[in-house]
Amino acid sequence: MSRPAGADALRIPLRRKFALLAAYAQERLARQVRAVAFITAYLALFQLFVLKAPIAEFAQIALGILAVIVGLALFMEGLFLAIMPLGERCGLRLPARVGIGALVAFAAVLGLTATYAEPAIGFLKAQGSATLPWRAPLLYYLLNAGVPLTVGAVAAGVGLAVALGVFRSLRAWSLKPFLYAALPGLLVLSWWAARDPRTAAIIGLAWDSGGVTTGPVTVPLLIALGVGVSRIAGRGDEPAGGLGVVTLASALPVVMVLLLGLALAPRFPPPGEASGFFAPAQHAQAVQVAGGEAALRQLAAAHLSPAEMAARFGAEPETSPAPTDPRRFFPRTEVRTHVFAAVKAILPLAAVLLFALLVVVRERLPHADEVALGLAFSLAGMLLFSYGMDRGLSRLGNQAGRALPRAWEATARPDKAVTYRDVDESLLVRAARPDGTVAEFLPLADKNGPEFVPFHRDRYDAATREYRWIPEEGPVAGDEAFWGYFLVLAFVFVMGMGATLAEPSLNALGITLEELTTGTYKRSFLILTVALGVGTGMAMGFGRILFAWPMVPLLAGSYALALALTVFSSEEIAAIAWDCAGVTTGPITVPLVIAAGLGIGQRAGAAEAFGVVTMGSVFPIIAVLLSGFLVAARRKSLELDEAPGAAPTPLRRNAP
Amino acid sequence: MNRLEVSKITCIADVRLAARVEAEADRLGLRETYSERGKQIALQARPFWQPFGRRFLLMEAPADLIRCYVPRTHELAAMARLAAAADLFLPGRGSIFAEDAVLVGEDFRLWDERQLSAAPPDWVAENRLQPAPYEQIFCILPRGRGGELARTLLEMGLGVPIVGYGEGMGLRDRLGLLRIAIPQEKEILWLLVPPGDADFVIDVAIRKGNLREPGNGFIGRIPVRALAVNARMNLDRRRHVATMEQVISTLDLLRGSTDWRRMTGAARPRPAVDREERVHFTLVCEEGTAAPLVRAALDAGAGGATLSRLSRRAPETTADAAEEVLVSHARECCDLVVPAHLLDRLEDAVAACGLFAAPANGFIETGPVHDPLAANG
Repeated sequence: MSRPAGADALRIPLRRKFALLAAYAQERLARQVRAVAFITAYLALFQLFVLKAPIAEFAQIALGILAVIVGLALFMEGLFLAIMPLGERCGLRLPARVGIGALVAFAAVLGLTATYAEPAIGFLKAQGSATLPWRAPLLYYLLNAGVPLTVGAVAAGVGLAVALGVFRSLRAWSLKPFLYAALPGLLVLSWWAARDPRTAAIIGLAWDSGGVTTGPVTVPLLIALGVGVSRIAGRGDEPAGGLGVVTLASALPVVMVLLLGLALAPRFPPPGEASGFFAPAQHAQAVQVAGGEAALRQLAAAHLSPAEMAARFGAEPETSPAPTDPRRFFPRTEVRTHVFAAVKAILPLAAVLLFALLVVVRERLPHADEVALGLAFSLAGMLLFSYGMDRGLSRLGNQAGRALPRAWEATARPDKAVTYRDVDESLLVRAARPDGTVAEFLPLADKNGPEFVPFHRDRYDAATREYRWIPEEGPVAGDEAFWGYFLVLAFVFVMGMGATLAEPSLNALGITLEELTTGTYKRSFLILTVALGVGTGMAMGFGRILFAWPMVPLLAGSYALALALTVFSSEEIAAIAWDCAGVTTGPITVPLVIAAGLGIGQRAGAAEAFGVVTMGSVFPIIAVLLSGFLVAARRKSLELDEAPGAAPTPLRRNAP
Repeated sequence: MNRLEVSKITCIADVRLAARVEAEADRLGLRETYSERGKQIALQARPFWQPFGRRFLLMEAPADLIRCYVPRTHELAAMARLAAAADLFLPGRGSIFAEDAVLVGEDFRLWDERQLSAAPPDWVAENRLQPAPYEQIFCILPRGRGGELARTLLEMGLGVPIVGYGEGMGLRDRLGLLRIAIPQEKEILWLLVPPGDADFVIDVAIRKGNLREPGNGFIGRIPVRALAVNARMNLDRRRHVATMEQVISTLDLLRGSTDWRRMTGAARPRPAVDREERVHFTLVCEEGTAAPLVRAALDAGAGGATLSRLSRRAPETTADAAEEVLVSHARECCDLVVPAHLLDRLEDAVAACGLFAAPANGFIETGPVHDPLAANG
């Protein structure tokens, strides 16, 4: 095992180097292929065989999915080479070098930076895209003109949470009292907000903002930071001692957004009708809601008739200036947008970490080349991954989402339209309806005889005597709407599960936990449990949209169950479970939720599609806590043999 | 540099018992203990609702490996009290053993003489308890291979393996950035066996772990004195008033040694391993500071190292937590097996690299290793 002193770097033949790299790349890619295969195959097969809709843009989607796989592999490698080691090193080094106060300040800055780096506000906007300014003025404001305020509130929440989480890890405080205090507080705040119709609409936004703002870079970073801090504080024997930061980073933004809403509410009108909103008496408040005179005019142009528009804003409304685009000088091609987002998500956070280590702690990075390569990997991975999501998986999800209403509605199929020539009106058959009106039917020749189809005059060209027949397909799940909804919820359940299997943050958490517990807590077990929870939560969330269940009782019930299970769980399982809530809603699940939400929410006539992410966050908590009980029951045989009060062994009897 | 000849006590206890051992160590006046997370592995019959798969499942129970140092004169008393605290004499709970070690460092404050000088509890003599000679076999394998070797050892009834995680350093670090293509994650498997069976077990481990293939791992054995050894290899419901493990322990006690249960005759050929005199050379330092120290050791002639994470517990430093700057409890442990004649050179190299000064604040622990076999090419 010895070798001569001072041996230099090893020289390896080029072929051997390629073989090493090929094996390395193959292993990483294969892992992501396994992660993404399920959700891809599921979406495609569901669309093809259940909804019986063709997959459009197949080549684009296939390329996109390939980009997702390569991107995820690069991104995960970047996380493990650079982002997580940097975070853990900051946690290990900062307290010993600069003290607790500086560490807490650093944590707050990190939290703020994380939110501004990965604001995910696009997701919140998409979920609230159906919001009308007169139905929910405050919500509309927070999602449009008030976005800086919303992001600011979320950032303050995350900053405070990271600081508090790090301080908790240092002091080795239990997470449970924080949960017992925070959750009932949050529910009371939500109930308070629900009492006022102005703030009731923002409850969903507030809860979802907690889930989505902890993105794929932030979560692994916070986990690594917590692990580092917990190790320095001497809790290395408790593997989950460093967890909990993500939980707090999911809970406190909800508080901040709710508080922001409650503070702003008196300045906003209560929900009403469009006529009232555009009335001259309400002008000042309407301008505030819309975010300016020009924006109000655009809203009015979209929702009022020309006559009403003229009556309200004068005969010749001023031509409003084109809305200013902050990236006007930055060509908004798709690729550049993605490059900008990837750089924004990774570099500011990396800069904060490097500043802390190189300038504050003043130490050299042990593997600087590895860190540089890791950062390059994460950048390239994030870029490829988000581009691929846009091109591939999201489109596939969108197609499935758009086709979803076929589950409970009859659907026209223009792609199967047939034009019949020489159709004479004398062929029409008239039939009476109970209300006294008359329906017209056209008999079409079928191999078994004539088939009578409803006759639509707008599809008949009297001049050419051609009739364009567009066939209609009945609901996939039969005529009962219940089975249609059931099919949709089943779809969402499996989609939630499949998307979770591929989530990078959850994978990072699973690998970290497996490492910390020497493999006694398996990554695959965690991911499967969380996936089951996310699936159930998403089905519940969409059930809320479809059946218009009230939000607060649903939230209160789910969180009460999670809290009750927490009381009886070990500290370790509780910390794992609650951190899972923050990691589940990541860059794969969220676009697919939007996709499904767009299909379902709009058809079901829901005002907004919030709450899905929140439900998708709380059910994994419940699932992991329940799995903890199962594992404990299975380990009964490993339980220390003597029960309390059992007869002592002879050695104990003699022991001092 | 100071040299201190000590007994190194290792207590392997189920995590739910670790706090009791730590508390007893405090009462004993042990100012520093080092713990590492691992798992004890045992077999359990496949339940009826899992109709497919192997007959026995591997059940892993998290365990803490708690290490402390005591004067050699106090070894039995300290082991007895730590073992009694967690009642390690019951099957399935854990093991406790001691080995000779030499510590090299600047300033050692490892124990409180007054608290430690208590005699062994009376029940040790009453029960005629004496530490029995055992061999601690350690085996370093690529991550994921420990489970299979553990299964083989368990199915052959050789003992309860303990598995921990570590990272390999050495060859990989001389490859430049290409090193990222080579996994550094390792598994460390420990097994306590009676000396008469050590050769047989090493032979089995070499064959089953494929340790003669380059890059597959490393194996060696360290002579230890064990007071309690976990022998509960099967977790199934017991069907008699005593388990087979309890019967065996009692027979060990009555016969005064474990030699009666040798599986192989003395004429059995010994496994072909390196017979050169070797020592284990362990660096314990603050986490994050090991890399340059190991590099210095490698440059001084060592072949490779395995890094694992330790958590230091030092009761008197808990007050420091109230101060502005925290005292770190995170430690790294770098295990190297080196030829005995290199020892002085390695000590000088790591000392020159700053092992004993801040920020590493470390020390060296050395001890004998028998029959090492490196299969890293």
